[in-house]
Amino acid sequence: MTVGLDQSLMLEFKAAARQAIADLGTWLGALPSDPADHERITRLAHQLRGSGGAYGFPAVSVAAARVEESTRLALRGRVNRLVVELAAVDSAIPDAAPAVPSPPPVIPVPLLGRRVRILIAEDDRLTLSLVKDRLERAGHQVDHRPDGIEALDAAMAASYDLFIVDVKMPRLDGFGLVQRLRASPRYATTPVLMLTALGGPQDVVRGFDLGVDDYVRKPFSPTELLARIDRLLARPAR
Amino acid sequence: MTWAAVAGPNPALRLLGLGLLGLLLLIAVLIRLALSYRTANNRTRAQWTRREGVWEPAVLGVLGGTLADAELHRQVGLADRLYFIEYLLRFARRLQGEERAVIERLAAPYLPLIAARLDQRDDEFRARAISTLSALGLQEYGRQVVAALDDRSDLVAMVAARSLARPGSPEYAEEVLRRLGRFRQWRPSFLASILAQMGLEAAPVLRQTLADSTVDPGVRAVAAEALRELHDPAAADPAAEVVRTNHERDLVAASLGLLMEVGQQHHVEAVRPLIASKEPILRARAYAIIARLGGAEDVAMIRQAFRDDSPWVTIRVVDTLRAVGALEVLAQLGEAS
Repeated sequence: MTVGLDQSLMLEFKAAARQAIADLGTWLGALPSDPADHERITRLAHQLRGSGGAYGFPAVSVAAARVEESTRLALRGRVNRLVVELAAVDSAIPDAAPAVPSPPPVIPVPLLGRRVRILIAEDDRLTLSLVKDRLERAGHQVDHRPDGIEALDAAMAASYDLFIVDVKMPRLDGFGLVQRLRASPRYATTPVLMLTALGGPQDVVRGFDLGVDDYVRKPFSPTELLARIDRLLARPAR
Repeated sequence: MTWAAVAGPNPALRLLGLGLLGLLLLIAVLIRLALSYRTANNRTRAQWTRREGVWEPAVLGVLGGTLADAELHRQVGLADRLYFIEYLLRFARRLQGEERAVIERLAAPYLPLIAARLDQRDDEFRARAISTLSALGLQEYGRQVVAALDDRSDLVAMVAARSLARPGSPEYAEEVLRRLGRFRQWRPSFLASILAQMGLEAAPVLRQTLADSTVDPGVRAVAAEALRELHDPAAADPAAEVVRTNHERDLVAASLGLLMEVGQQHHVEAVRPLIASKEPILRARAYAIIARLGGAEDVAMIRQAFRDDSPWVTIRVVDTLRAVGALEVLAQLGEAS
């Protein structure tokens, strides 16, 4: 039996079992350049199994694990998948497989130490390219949507660590999007940065009232934007 | 059966037939032309889209520091240079800081092509050239942009003024202010907004203009309005001086507006005489300043506003008292009147 877990699923799982798989971020950061790190991936898979009971995951044994680059989801670009081959469903399997070295002590991983998943809600194609390119160069995983409704749907369908939101968008503007994100317990404290040409005091105050964490005004400097994102990600959760 | 057989010997019907035939031919030719233009436009658009598809990752690569400028320049054909400048303009409008400087650096080799257009007869060509040069190469072409303030076309001069009025370039404030008189057809508030875009760095020049009695009163009024937009506290003294010594309605009104924003209690003295002005706008603003900055001794004076000939004066005073939270005074005055 082969179970494919794409990164979004793993991140979602991580949000639920953050403490149990605290080193997820460490190896996720190394994923693209180190696809042959079976030992660490196998260890992670065992951790998933070990904490799975509490989250509805079956107890299984891990036969092998590897990273594959999948292009099947063409619309989303290339996706790295963690493929875990499970030998059998067996509740009697001991927690620690003998072949696998004991996991390192669990230490909190700084958020910046892994690939952060960011959703950009922006309808201007060139601005989007500038932001997306800079964030991807910094090692972040970036999704984008051209309006507030699509961004909201994407946010609810996956799990994101940070949002970059334009104010003037079709269908649902940035203020409405932030309001709805904050209404969801899942994103009540997730950092939101507004990137907007509307930089008047009233707009800024309205944004902060709704739960925006930071503002960057257009025209903008991608370097400054990245610095602000790093600051938002590094700060303790509110 | 031929038309001749149908029309018979009737010459009117024959003429009508020929006319219809000609009309049909004309329609066919026009449709053909429209389709040709559309095809040509689609082809051109597709070509540009392809070129942009090549340039975009290259520009992003240069901005990200992974591609040399020369690599990008190699991808710009001789025939594409003007379009490439237009393309870079899109980036320039969206960027600032070090990335904006990179875009200007990328555009620099091509800007002489644009500078050559400053000699064209068409006003719009020159205006466009000034806009492009100031957006992508103001440091290099600042002299030409300043010279465009004196262009024979008001359009070109206005584009130059707007291009020069940007934050971080206060050295151009004086040049723009000196030529502001030629832009009388534009609204003073619009001109003031342009000047205010230069930021507080331009405030000293604006204050100097406001205080200079040799300058056209209209220009001084625009300077006062710009200083109000900039919330420049140091402008209160020259504004009070204007109110004290000048009688030009627009200039005094603009100075009162400035005092309303940044004035202090000691400026009220200069304002009090204006409640006797014949101009309702001056009375309204004077009363508003007194209501905002005046003391208990001014309550009797404010009461006069409730008996003013112009209801706007009363409304303005009520608004101000409410805005500053003087509700008790407002209630007293309301009962007394």
